[in-house]
Amino acid sequence: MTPPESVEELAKLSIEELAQVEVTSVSKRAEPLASAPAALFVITQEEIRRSSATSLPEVLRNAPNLDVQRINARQYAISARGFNGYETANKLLAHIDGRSIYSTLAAQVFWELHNPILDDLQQIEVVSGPGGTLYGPNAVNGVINITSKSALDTIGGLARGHIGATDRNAGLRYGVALGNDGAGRIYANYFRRNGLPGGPAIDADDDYSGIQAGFRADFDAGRDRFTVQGDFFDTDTDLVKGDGEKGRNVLLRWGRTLSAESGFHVQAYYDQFQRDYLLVRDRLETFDVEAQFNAKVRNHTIIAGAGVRTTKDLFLNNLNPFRLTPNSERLWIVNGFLQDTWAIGPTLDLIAGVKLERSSFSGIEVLPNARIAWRPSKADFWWASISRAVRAPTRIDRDLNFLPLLATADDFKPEKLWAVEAGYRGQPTTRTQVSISLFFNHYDDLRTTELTAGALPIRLSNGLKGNSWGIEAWATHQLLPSWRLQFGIATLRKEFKFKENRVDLAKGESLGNDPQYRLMARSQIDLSPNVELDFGTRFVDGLKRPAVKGYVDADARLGWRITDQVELFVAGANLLHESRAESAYKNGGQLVERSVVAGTRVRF
Amino acid sequence: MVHQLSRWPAIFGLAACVLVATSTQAHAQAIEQSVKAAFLTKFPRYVEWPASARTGTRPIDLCVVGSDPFGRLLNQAARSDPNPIIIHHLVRAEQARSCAIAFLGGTRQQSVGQMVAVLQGAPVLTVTDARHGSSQGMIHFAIHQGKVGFHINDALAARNRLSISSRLLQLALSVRQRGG
Repeated sequence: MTPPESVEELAKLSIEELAQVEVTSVSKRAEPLASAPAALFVITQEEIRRSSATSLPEVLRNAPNLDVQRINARQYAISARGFNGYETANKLLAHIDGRSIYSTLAAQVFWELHNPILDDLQQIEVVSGPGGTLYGPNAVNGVINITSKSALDTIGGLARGHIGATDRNAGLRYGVALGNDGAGRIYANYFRRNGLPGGPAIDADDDYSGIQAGFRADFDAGRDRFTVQGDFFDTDTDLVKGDGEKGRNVLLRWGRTLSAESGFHVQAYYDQFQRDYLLVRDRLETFDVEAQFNAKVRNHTIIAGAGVRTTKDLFLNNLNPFRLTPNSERLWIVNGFLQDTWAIGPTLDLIAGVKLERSSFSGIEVLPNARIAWRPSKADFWWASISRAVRAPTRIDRDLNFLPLLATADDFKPEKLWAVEAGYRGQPTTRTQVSISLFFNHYDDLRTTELTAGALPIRLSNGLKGNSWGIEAWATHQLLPSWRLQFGIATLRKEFKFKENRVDLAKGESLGNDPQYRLMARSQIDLSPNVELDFGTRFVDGLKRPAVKGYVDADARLGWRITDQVELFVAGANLLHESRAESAYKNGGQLVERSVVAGTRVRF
Repeated sequence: MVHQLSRWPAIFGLAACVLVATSTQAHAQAIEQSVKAAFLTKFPRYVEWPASARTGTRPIDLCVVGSDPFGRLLNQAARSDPNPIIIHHLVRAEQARSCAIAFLGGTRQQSVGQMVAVLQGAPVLTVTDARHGSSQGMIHFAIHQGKVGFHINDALAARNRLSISSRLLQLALSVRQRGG
């Protein structure tokens, strides 16, 4: 719906209609997702606040379309629609406030590098499936879009902390108004987590602690909006003295509204981190600039954009004989995209877009997508899509070697996906919301490890192809004004085979180790105006190669708001087991333990 | 159009500047403020004041206390409303005890939180905005999923002898319920 322009028109709407008016300007990037014809789940700030999670990756368990496998006290493997595992979850694009956080070393996300104050997050959007045209590189199996609150919405002070036998945290944030149209905040977040007991791997000293601090300022001066933000972090692991991670980033964004229906934004960021673990050093420096323009011409909404990213890496390995050659390299990835949303009728949209992407390791890739969205009524939304996505080769894919056994693979090609999806989102009753999505993925050129003409050395190659399909569904129901229920399910079937005359010495390891289905249920009860009681439970099917037993587990939280300023809570996670395996990762997988913390939030 | 308008203030001086600046805002940014203004004029329909505080036929006194983010949007919204609404601009919350509804914008001398505290016990529907800080009146605007939403503190309304209709409560992002 095009929002009414004038306040007079708005005043004529019913109060319910008024509550549905989109006020975020059409030019803001956040918008395309909200009404996206895609399998979208939004973790709201209320769900983040009421979750038992004490870290960002734990919060992501709230999304039914994500599989979260905790590796050890600091590391996680997170994926949508398969390929999960610490070394194989490489087909996801994750963003924090528009800053891409997957590493170009092996295209996975090092979740341990991101420890914001959870209270400062605005929401987390999780799209399973290809991100379409609008998102940057690597949006193959999903997009995780984490947004923090505008500084305009965090004026005042917040102190939060929790303590438990194995998990401690203290965070402080303070925000002030800057003139009439702006605000700024600074924050610092300290955490300490005890190491977990040995599991798939021998018991490691994986105690983990660190601090992340930063700032954000926003100015909303009518036509122009500016954001400047930055963080730094410094963490310690107990593996070897001196082990840990350090990093910093800064981002600038400028958005301008040109008219009610057009605008643009430009953003640039710098990001640098260094991970030291055992005898390995992995460093990455990223500089990224992107711009996006949107306009509405009659019944066409057009979005166009372009981005360029360059990374400079360093990988030194004194732990084992595997090397990257060269050990430091500068890579480039550029992309441009164009998308048209054509309103064919009042209830029907046709969306077509194409992205062109080129990286240092690939030629120009053409990534088209076409979507159809149909809103027969305000409460029903049907959609279907077909899209192509690729995972560009990484440094590991191309440059890993261990001569004379393993040679570099200069001909490693992008992994490719064609995805067909369809779904429904709707409100069967005013108190119920449902979403159902079906997907069928066809992959080609997936990674294998093969001999060279029947003899050593082995090389990484593109010998696998195949299909995966499944259903993702979730529903929320407001049983009573004070009682909300949520259910989710995700299934995944995979069928991969070798291309002609191809083999894989790694026995399909790159395909990941995924549960065939996951179920979750969550209950949020307001026992009184000031007391909240929340339960969550999940069932996750077992993993097959290597085997990990399926599990049922539960979490719970009791929160008590003593005054408007002070809240106390007790939260427990993994309550049904003292400890259990969750991942099968041989090089560091530990058992997940029960954890109970007590904490407080104070606003001032 | 917008560009041309914004050049006029230099010629016409300060008075024109205020008017034109708000009108460019109305186009560019402030659909958000327009929605909030429309909400403010509609809220009184969903609230019952104690009989001692108001009689049914009187126009509704809508007060903006402290900084005013609406400009003339609020007057325009009020004019479009079928019920007579009179808009007052006040500096301190003490002056707002006889208002039916008060938007608390805060000033350097009196914060939003202090304004809420001053109006404790008075039969005034207090409205605050997350953009102005975390202090909350009975209704607290907040942007949620790209739309203007609001939290309702019905417990505070009850203490001030106001009754908020269930139709409004149903629309709220959250409701702090009145105790038993």
